[in-house]
Amino acid sequence: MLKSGRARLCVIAFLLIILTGLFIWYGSLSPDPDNGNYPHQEHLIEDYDGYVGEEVELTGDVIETGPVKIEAEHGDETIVLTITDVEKDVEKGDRLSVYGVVKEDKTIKADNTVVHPPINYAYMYLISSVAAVWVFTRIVRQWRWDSQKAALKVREEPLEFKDLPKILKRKIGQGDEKDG
Amino acid sequence: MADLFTHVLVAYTIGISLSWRFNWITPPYITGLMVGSTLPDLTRVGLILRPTQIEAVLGIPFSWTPLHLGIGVLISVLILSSFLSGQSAKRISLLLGVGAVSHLILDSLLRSASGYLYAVFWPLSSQNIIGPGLYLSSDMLPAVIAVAVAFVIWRIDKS
Repeated sequence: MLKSGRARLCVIAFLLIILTGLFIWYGSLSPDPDNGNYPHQEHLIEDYDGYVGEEVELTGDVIETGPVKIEAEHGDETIVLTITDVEKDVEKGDRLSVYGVVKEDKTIKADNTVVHPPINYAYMYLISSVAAVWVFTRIVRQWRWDSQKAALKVREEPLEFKDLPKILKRKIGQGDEKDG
Repeated sequence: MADLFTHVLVAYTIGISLSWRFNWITPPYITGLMVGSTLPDLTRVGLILRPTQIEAVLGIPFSWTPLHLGIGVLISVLILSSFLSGQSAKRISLLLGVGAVSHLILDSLLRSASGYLYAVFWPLSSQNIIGPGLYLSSDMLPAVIAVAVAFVIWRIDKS
């Protein structure tokens, strides 16, 4: 699509600058409860008393169950919160998302909660890495880098894994010739 | 996010179904659709490059979230399509977009504590969309259903 390498570099640089601008802009946004963006744990860590009486949405690890206490982190900082009115069964080690109202004494009165058992997280990361390997394998088999056109091209024949040793040998062979 | 596997499987299923109607959609193009379906989850870079660390080092506010919104997806697609040339560039860009949109639609069905999910049209609108709350990203059911549907479509395609 783009004729010269320099034009492409300019376009990519331009897009990356815009993207970085968006990362910073979004990061600077304040909570906006009217639009469904409630304060999170970072805001309570910063200034708990300033949010008493307001609705918040936050997530933390359950560290006690009677009453339910969670430890919510933001970077290196953490806050321990007592969660009242939890209507679901929670166990120590679960991750608990809470939507509720901030009360005095590091207490949140929950309106709704979502429980994430830790085993499900392990499953999610495992199955997601399977997906990443699948997609990566398909790209390598079906696409190649055309250095003349400086673009990705569809392979005429998909790469077969049984051919892999042969191809590697040829590549190494080419390298030797260049060196010599 | 639903898990990445579900997203990629759904994209695969969409790709095969579209290939029945558009015969230029061959396996390499279906891969383009699958890659598109992973783009919104580029926010997972945040697991390694934590926004709090970036904020601490650079002293500026920072969030990866735009990558999971319409605007970020659009920019991701444009960056990737600049590595393609000729007719395939337009077609792959289109399919990357279809894949990414399928991701955002699946994620709009997620459950959250408040019900609100993400502001997909930001910065045009800051309104977070509210979903039916069908599943959690860590649930196993979406992947099971996606596998079953993908298998059926794959079998029909082979026959």
